[in-house]
Amino acid sequence: MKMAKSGDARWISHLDLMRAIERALRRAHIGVAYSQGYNPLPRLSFASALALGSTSEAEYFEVDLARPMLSTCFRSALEKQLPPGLEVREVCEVPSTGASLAASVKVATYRVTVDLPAPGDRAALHRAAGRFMKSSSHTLSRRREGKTRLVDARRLVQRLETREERDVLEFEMDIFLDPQGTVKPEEVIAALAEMIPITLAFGAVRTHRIALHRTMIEKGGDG
Amino acid sequence: MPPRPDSVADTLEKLLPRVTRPARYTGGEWNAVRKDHRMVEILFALAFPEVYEIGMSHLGSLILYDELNRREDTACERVYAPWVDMEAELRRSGLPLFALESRRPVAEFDILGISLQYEMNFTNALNLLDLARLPLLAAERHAGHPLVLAGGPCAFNPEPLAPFLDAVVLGEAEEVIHEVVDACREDKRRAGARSRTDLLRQLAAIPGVYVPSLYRVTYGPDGKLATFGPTGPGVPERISRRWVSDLDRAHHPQRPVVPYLETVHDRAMVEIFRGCTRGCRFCQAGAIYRPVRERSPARVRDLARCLIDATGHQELSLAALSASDYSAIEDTVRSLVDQEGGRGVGVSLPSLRADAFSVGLAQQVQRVRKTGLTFAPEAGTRRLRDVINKGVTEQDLREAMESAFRNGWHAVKLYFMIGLPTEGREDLDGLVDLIREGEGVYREVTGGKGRQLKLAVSISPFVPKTHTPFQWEPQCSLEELEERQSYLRRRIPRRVRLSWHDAHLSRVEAVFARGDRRLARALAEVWAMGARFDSWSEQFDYRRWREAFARTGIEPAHYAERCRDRDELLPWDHLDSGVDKSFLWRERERAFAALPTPDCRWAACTGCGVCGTRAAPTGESWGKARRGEDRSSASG
Ligand code: SF4
Repeated sequence: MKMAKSGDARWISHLDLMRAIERALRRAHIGVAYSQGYNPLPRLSFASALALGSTSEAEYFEVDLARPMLSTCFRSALEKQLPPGLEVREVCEVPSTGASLAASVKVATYRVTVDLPAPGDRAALHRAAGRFMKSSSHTLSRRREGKTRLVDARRLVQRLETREERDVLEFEMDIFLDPQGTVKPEEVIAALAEMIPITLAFGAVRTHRIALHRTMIEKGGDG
Repeated sequence: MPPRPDSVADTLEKLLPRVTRPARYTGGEWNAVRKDHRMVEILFALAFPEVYEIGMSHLGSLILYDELNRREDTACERVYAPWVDMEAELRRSGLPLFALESRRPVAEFDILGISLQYEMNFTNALNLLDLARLPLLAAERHAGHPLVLAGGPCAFNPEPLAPFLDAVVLGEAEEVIHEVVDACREDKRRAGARSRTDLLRQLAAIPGVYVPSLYRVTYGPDGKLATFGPTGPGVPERISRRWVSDLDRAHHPQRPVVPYLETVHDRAMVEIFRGCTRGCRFCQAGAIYRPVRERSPARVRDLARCLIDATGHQELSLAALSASDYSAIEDTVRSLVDQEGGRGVGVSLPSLRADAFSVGLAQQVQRVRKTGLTFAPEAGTRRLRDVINKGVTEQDLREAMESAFRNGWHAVKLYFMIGLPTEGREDLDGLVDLIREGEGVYREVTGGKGRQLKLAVSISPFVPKTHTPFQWEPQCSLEELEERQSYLRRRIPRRVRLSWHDAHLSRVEAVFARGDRRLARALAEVWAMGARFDSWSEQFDYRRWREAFARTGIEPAHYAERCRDRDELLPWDHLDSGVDKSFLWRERERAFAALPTPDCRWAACTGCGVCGTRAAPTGESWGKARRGEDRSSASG
């Protein structure tokens, strides 16, 4: 199923969202299959975790059913049990033998809105995006648990388009979900801001996931 | 102009990315009740002075939320203590404390009800008032401010908070809250004509409601309470606790709010019975929730189904002070496992006695999931357990552990207290012996093979509480507590996972548990110095408390370490839990003679006085019949 996450629901973390869906399924009396073992868990899997605070219209989940059910029935039963901000967009039946959902998605498309009231800042960030896409690589270093890891953000960003609106700069980007490690859209924006450099206010960057793709996107960006 | 809800939302938008766990502050959970404020007369903010994950786990608040929202004229909304990062953001951005459902500032509500579960939350309670931009002192608030109400176990000695509270509800709030709300509604209808004092006088006339400002207190030269009494006519000398006599007729929430965040008790809760008459002499809950009132098994099963349907929770917990004491526990557990197991729902029993019977129960509910088992022998020797009337024998404990290990448990947690009255070296040695015995049993059962035993031991200092037989007793000095801790630390095997409840924290807890009104200044002082979330040892800073006591001329030892005389006027004597003071004193004497007192549930009435002239509590008669027991009538 494909779901959308909006409004305050964006403050639900990935793990909490999984639990919320699990509970909605139980409230809807949908017969979900459970894993074996000490702690039976519903067989519910996801395509790609969304960062806390982002909204999305492309959250994909797969759930194994213990009892077969028409997808239309599934949808209407579940819809009634979803808390505000969570919405079912599509439901379809898939063979249970396919590859895992997480392994099959390759690219995510995001729209990122940055509040920038100063026109000069907007222009500068716009130009930085152009320079970024023209460069052959752009290395970011990340520290996690005391270790530093390097990622080439440029390689992972396959498309980056920029549009200036009143008080905001809007980006649309395709990011490669490399199993070896990918980059978050906010990190890309932070990298652009650092090129100028300007500091972005906390909460000035809002991310919305538009789509997930199973295959690599053919057409390149403007770089 | 106070900020409007939508401007709160705008500001909140900018704050949430900066704080940990933003879902603590968004509301909008499944089953949260949002009412149109134009359609109700009373706005009730129900506040829990702890972080969301703890507050949302509290069954009593869920009951009250449900009870209030069933009223057509009332909208009840939740408020929790913002964590320190959120407090900083609120203060920086100038956003006042708001209720989760509507995001309306708390100051615009008619009533702010604060649940007081623990003395170490008192600083948070003050902070809630301040974040809501209300004057801390009741005397400085007027009819335009919310009425600040408190309830919960700490209501049985709210004296340290007396100047900050307008009224206190004694006992089971669902019994009395409607009368309080009715009075506020009538008062509001007569708007303008009346003052806060009029309302307070009217509230004081409701049985079970205590209005601290209507009493005068004097102290003697020895620092003890000299006199305590009402300031005028129509104000009762003593306030009696209210309680529900038939649990089957009491409402139980059927559509509780389902949090997104993982809370402390992240499960559906059915209250199977209320009260406990085992009579552990250190236990306040065992005194202030008497007598035992059971919900019938049929009702429990119905509620269980309803709750899972309405919440989708994966776990159903049977809530009670001691779940294995429920008359029909075996049948109930079996039928619930059958009824709910099919949809992946597990049953859990949060409070089990330390005996083989209870392990048998745990075995039934945990056929699949093997989480750890917890037992609370509390003291190391039979003698000391008789002093505190904890009827667990070495035999019980041994059998419990044997049965647990045989049935595949590898993780057991034991709870003990130190510093109990009459405790000596032998008792500490006995505690170490019990731990070693546990390890021995494990070796015997597993034959030295198999997995390593995960034994966790938690040791807390004894804190004397009001309305218990130990309410007159001193707490051990800090030096003595630390001495006993290190004695044990040297003797308990290193492989045991040992956790200590902070002795300094227990000391402050002991001061406030039996405090009087003079402590209010110390509380305001320590709050002003930045004390928040003092129940969290990483937030608790003893130096701050010591400084606040010094600045306000408070001698903590006077409250914590002093042995009170039998005839001393105690600051909470006017608050009547229903248990007679003479019964408590008799129990105290039996304690020092190491004489156990049986549970009136299975033996004759021991005369605590709670049942009084009221009809013997119903709802458990079928349970007694089942056991073929004939109990003498429950008259105090
Ligand atoms: S009055 Fe008697 S029966 Fe009632 S709770 Fe007290 S001891 Fe038990």
